[in-house]
Amino acid sequence: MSSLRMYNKIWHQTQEALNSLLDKESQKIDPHKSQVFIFQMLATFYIKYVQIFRKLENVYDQIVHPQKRILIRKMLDGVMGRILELKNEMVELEFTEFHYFDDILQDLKLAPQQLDIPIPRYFLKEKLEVIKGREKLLAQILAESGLDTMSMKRIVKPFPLDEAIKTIQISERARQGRLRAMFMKQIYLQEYRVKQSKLLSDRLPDVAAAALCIQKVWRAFHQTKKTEREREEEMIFLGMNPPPQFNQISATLIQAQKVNSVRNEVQIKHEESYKDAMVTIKNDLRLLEGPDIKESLQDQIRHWFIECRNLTGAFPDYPKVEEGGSALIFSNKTPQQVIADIIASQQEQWRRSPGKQRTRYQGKQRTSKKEKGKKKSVSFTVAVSFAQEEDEGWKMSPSLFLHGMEEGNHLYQDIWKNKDESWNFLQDYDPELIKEEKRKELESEIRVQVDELMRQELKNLKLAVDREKELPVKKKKGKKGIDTDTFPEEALSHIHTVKITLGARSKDVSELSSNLMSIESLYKELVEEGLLIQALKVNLSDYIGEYSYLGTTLRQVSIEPMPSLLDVRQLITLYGVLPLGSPTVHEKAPLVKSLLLAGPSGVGKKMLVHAICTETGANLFNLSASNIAGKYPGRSGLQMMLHVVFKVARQLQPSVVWIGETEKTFYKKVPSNEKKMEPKRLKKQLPRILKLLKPDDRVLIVGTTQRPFDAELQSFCKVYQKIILVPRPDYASRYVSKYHSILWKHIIQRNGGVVTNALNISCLAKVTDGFTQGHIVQVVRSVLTDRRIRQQIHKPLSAVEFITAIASMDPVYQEEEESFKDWYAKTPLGKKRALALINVWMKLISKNEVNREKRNPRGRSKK
Amino acid sequence: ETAVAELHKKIKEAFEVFDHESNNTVDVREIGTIIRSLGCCPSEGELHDLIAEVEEEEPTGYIRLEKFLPVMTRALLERRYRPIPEDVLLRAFEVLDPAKRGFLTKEELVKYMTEEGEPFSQEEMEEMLSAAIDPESNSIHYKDYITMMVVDDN
Repeated sequence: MSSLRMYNKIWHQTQEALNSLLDKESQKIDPHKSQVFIFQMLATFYIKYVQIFRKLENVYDQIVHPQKRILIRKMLDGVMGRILELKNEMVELEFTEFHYFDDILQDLKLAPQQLDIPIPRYFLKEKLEVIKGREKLLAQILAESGLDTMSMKRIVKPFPLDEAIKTIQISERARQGRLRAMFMKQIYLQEYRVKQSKLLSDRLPDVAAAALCIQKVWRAFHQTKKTEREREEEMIFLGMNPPPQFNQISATLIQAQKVNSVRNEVQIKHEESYKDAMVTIKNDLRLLEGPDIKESLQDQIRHWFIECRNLTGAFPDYPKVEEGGSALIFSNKTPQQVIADIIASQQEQWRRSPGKQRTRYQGKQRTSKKEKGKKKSVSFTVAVSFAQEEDEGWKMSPSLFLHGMEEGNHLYQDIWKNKDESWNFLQDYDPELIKEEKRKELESEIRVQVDELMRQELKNLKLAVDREKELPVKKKKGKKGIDTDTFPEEALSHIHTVKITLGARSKDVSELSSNLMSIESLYKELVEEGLLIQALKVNLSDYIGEYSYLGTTLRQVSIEPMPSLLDVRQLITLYGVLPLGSPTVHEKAPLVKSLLLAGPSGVGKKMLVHAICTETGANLFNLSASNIAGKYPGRSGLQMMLHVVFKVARQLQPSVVWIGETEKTFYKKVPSNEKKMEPKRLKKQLPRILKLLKPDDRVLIVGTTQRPFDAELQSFCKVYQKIILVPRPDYASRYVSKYHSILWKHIIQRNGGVVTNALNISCLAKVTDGFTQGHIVQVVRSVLTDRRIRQQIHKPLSAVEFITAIASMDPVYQEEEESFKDWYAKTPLGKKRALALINVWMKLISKNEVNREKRNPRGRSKK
Repeated sequence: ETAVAELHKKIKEAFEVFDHESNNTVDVREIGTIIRSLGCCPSEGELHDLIAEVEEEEPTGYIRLEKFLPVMTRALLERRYRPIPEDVLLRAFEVLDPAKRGFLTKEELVKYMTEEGEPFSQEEMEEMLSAAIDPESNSIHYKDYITMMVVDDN
């Protein structure tokens, strides 16, 4: 288990990197630097954070020390959030969703693959049971209502009995015919051979000739085999073909995977023992140190009483429970200081506890600061147009994550950085840390009891000494506070699915349970109506593609490159997967409530939607116009449907609400043949719903469209916060063939095909330029039937099989892609970008002119 | 061009098997077998139509290759009598088995095959039974049987 140490080391390194990065972030930047400079800086931060994120993710997945994991998790969420914030900054700076870092990557000596943003494995690991349970429930409901089989039956046209019989008869007759023909052929061949041998036997048998014949054939056979083998070796030697073990996973890798999974088990074990230890250690502490603590507390407080009386001549008032009891007086102060405080405040204001005021004041200050910050950022995003920016200079909007990360970093520096862990070989929990933590907890618990006692004592004292009458202390309120805190938590552990919403708005328990009941039944209803559907199991990593290596270069000559597939994948990770997977990130990072995927048919828009669900374990709701047509009719019905959908989506979050062919919802003009469907039903409701979604509701609305041009631009763009163009798979012609061959190979293998030398993939790739992933998948599926897969052993796949199938499909033409680009240029972000580009050009031109005039004051010069 | 030549070769080969006299004629009753050996799945009705097309004006009971070859080539080029895919067959059997038991009893099969559609002759029925019926349960597990009924490509 030396690798435990290795992961520790990685962690330490990562923390160091993060530390220096945070340092850099805190440095002031000159706001009047050029836009390019600022972008470079942002991008460098971004890339560095991504690197740290990748490492932390790995470490979090593998480190087994439970307490370290808590900290790492915190850092991980922080880094994730910061990445999103930086992305947002870049978007606002450059007015485009896509950024190209090729030049920076070169500077940092990183490979493009290292830019890939991993999806934290804990998203799924930590919710495995919930997801499985839900899947089971869904499958069960589907099975009960017979929806899955029904929907299949609905597609196939009815099959009348006599036709069925006829079909069987035809096939059976054909089988018998074939059988008989085969039989007859054998007889025929036999006869033929007999005839031939008769002819031959007429000739004189020549042993030598016979031997020669056999030798000839065998030699030829032997030599071809040998040559084939040699050729193969040669190709491997030259590097034209991969070596035989190339595709095999080496034993060490398998071993490493095993170790990884073992480590995950250890993780769980340690986690459990840690939780146990929290309880046992606390109990031990209570037994061992509890009395001591109690006594010392009592002593302290008594001391305070007496000092107070000595100094002021009267016993102090006991702080109320809501204010924190005696803790308020002694927090980080010696009794003497407290008394000095009291005297000071007594002089100013009688009967006010000084601590309270201070904390309140501080709190207020902080919140007001925050508000200010928020306002600033909002006004920044809204008001900044290109021209303004120049005057004001650029400012980074305040981050909500930096603070947390710095805190975590300090924690790391204090506790873990120089910790001697030689005793803790197995990386189990550290009891000392728990003790420290629990001691504090215990102290505060005991303090409550002590307070109670001391209050009594004070009363008695006052009675005895001052004969003063004490007002009865209200304690009801405090108790209630505790109750509501602990009680729902118990309930929660049973039903973790609704954890967050419940925690956020602790309601009456009775109301909750009734809510839960109805959630179950609502869930069922939605499934039965076909509004809640099963997400297909596709990983985001199946959306394969290549990087755009030319992005920056192209932009410098102001050609807007079509985004590469991996850029799209990253955006999906950033806007979809990360916020849905992590509650902290969703709450604090720039909020993305809705996403639009636009692109020609078959480029994988729906697949991306499913992938988001798979990666985060989200529910998938289908609100496509065609799907809700005729369901829940009328205005009230619609409202009711939406209410139910979003209620369930919120309670069982994370959720994805998918609106397929979303342009129909925003039709400029409804085609007459679709009028019946009432495609625009949702239009008015959507903005309202978006407003209702709160940062702690991990619900994402995803629209997909093939024809965004048919939609009313304004309302469309209002609803969809982020618009992502999904390109067809050729973006830079140089990589077309490479990309396609990867794609073909991947898809064929996914569908059970075996890629052999007989299958000329590069030929396939060349021929199918312009076809989308969807086309390829369709073709591969149609060719690779179960039967064909079984035949593969005897008959390897060949390119012709696929080509004949694909010949019947229409490729995506350049013009169609251009029309998407044109459309995108009309969206708000696209417009801003165009404006910015024009400005840059104008500046360049004017600068050039000035330069020219300087160089050549007479004006015109030779070119 | 080459495709046509190849088809010709295939058809000739199939034809020769039944050309016992080696005079480029076959018994008209073998035509069905020949067509089916070429991977086609015609119904009886379609078969009759085709035979009518290739027969001599005064039926002799024999079919000549010169007549058969062009008609058959055209049929193959037009991809007539396409084999019935596995899933369609499965659905057809499922129609006969509404309870979805996964099998038909021997009696059910015989009844359907000899009384409906283009009824099987006794000979045909017997041959089917000998291949399809699982002697232990005396029934046909059609999912297994379908794999035998489907035409292998080439």
